[in-house]
Amino acid sequence: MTTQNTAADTPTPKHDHTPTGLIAIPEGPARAMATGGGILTIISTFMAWTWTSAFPGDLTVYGYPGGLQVLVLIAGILTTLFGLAGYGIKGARTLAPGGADAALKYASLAAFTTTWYTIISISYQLGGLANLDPGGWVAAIATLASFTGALALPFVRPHTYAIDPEDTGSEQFKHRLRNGLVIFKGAFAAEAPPTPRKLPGYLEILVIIAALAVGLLVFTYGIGTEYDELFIGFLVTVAFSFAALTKAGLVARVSTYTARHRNVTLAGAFAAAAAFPFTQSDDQYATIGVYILIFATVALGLNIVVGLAGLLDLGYVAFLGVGAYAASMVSGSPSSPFDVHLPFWGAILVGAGASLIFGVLIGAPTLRLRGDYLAIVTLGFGEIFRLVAMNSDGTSGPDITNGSNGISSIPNLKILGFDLGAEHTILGFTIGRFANYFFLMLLITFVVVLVFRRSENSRIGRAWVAIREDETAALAMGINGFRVKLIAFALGATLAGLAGTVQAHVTYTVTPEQYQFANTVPPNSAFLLAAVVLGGMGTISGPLVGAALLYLIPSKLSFLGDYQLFAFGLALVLLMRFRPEGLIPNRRRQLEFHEADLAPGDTPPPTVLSKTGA
Amino acid sequence: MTTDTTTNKDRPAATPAGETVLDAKGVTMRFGGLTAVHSVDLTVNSGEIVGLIGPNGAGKTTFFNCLTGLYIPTEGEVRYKGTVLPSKSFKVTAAGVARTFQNIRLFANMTVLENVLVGRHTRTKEGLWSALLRGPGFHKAEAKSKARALELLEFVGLAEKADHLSRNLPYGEQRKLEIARALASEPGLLLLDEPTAGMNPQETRATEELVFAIRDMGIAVLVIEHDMRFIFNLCDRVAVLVQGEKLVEGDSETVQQDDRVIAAYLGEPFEGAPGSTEADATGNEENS
Ligand SMILES: Nc1ncnc2c1ncn2[C@@H]1O[C@H](COP(=O)(O)OP(=O)(O)OP(=O)(O)O)[C@@H](O)[C@H]1O
Ligand SMILES: [Mg+2]
Repeated sequence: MTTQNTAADTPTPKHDHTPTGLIAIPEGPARAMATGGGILTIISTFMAWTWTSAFPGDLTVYGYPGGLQVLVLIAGILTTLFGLAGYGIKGARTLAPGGADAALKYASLAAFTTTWYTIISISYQLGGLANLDPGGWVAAIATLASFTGALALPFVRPHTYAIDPEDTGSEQFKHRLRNGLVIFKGAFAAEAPPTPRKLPGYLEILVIIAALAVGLLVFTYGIGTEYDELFIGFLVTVAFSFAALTKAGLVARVSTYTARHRNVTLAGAFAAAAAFPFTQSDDQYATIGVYILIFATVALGLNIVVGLAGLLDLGYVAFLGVGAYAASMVSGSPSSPFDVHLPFWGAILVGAGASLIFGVLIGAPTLRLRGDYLAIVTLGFGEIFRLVAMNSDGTSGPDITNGSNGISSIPNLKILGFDLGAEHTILGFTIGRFANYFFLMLLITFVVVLVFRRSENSRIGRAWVAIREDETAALAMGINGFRVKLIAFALGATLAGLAGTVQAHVTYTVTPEQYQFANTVPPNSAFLLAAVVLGGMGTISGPLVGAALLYLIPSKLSFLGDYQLFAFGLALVLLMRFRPEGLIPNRRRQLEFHEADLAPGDTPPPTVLSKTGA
Repeated sequence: MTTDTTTNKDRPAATPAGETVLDAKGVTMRFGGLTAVHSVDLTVNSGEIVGLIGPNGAGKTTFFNCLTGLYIPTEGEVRYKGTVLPSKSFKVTAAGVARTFQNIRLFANMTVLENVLVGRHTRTKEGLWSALLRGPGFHKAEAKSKARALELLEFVGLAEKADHLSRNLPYGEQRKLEIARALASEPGLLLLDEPTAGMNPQETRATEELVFAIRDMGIAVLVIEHDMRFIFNLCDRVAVLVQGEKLVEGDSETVQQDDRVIAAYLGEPFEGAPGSTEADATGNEENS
């Protein structure tokens, strides 16, 4: 009867007791190299890297950094700080509660990759290493030295298993490879940081505000990047720097604070997002901002359906389309078959209401299906919506949607006499059309966030999760599965309808092509789902971050061109392999996928709340 | 069928003869050609612990599924406190019959407390609007549910683990959690499918105590188990299911001493035992 017998005899793990680094340099010189390299990196960014301004960003100036140099400067500063923290210098040590060495490795990696990427781009674009100025050489050598030094820092070797001499050659090779990988991963691993001391409330809130400000800064910078190289450098620097901050234990620390002050964080995140248009001098980036917000809001709505209730909906963008079409028809547009012009409140009610009805109509027959069947049927309905909209043009069907021309010249919204189409001046800042819509959309995002948060943490939200986990058991616990799923489906549809109303007015025109399953421009069903999965299922900030990334990456990396969908697929595969729980993992999911990494009884760090504020 | 399988003529006087909680009549479940449960009658009275035993594949779990609306029986009728049970499993739970599963079916990625809160679903009313608007009624109901759930966790001894993910609990505690979750729906009848499977002897003892405590709360219990010591310690009445048919029913002694039961467990078809005729005379249609 006893099942809890002791663990079977496993081969004793080989454990190296003298910690050494990946590169055989003694610790002292290695640390000096890493830190000194960091300092030199900082200095190098104030020098000229190339002689001509032909390379974008103008890296020819002595005295202040420009373009990619700014990114290298930030990585260099992080490297230096974590290097100093590694020496145990008092002020710097508080920067790395989780240990400085792993953080140092990532920070120097950030500096190294960004610098070398820049150097190689310069040489490649301008035709040869001769185009590098001394500053470029200094930067290259400094970051290489810094990264080498960091790699040479000793670390606790992870357990590896001895190679069985009786194995075949290829087996032994695979085994060695696996051991090598384990050790390599171990070199970049950090222990979980100690639980932070409780600071006075106002200090914790200050930390949150600072983190949000950094988030806004990073986001604004990313949106404003003007050329491919800068955006790639930005992505690389941000990714590795974020990893460094995570390893240093800072992210975990901030997220304990945000978990303790959820409402402050939420308010702060929205304040930061609302500050975004004020950081812009013209409407150009506010446009991107609105589109990201629309995409992110719809993704968050989808997260209720997919992340909470576990209903794989592959036709979700149709609800956005229904909302947009319905709102456009009552907008007073000349191509609308109805000659009505409802005020904002009427339009949004019509948009959300139409989506709700459509959601119930589609949900009622399909939600009796489980799993894959539901996915296929929703995919079908999504396409049916698009085809119907395409064909209701008066020739192949009734004259409702104006066919592939769509409903065009949709007039701007007016809310309480405030014309969203006109420029306004607030506190000396000029707020253009897209910024107006940005604020309106932000309000809707806020509503969706609130709906998500409140419904998740309630009887109905628990029922959704229970259905997702085990439908049979959920039914046996008295949950009316069909009803509860229909509520999730209809709620998701309604929220998409809200966003659709605004979308119709932002884009002036509503056409069937905007609502395909897969397309190169988000939002479409595939990208929406990807935003949810990439960001983290069942979280609020996950889809927001995921949507921002999925919007920015294709729009910034113009050189991807036709390979965009291919790159997108590849990225998703890699993500699913290495981080199946998404960028911002739900507490449950993190445990689900990385249970083996945690000792039993360990409590994982709480969910990270929105950092970008977008 | 010709064999009279029930032997309830000398029921011990100790059994509190309360009102009938569960009354299953002629329950038959066929899967295509296979008759997994054949014409089984069973009653459970209030204040009783009734055991359901039988060899592997006898149809015990299938019978449970018929009682709880997971399967719709091909024939027969199940009444709970006089009214016919609905054929949807969530309605059965709402009516007052709760169950656990043989292969544990917890909500693995929910915390222990959340699992029990889900069990409260039928006894709470708060819908989506209430969750979104968060009026005073919502907070009151949530607090009440939480208090009740913690009480139940205390009852099964899992209170300190309220915030753990249920998947991380050891096996025995997962079974206890399933019981707590079932109790959260405030049932009048609790069906336990092999509650001690995978437990060590101490845990089995503790589970016995738990089942007695549940009975003392006024909840009738119907329990499937292969551990005979457990069954005979616990049950007021035991029914034996063999190849889908009820072979014997009675108190522990009656059942223990019944030759047919012993034979069934040893795997020898006892002459006249149900199923033996089918096994012997393949192809011969029975005329009943
Ligand atoms: N859904 C189903 N479809 C077809 N056959 C089924 C189904 N469910 C159960 N059976 C069959 O019905 C018979 C009874 O199975 P059941 O699970 O009820 O046995 P049991 O008495 O619970 O056995 P155990 O003690 O092993 O749990 C078995 O032969 C099984 O294969
Ligand atoms: Mg069974």
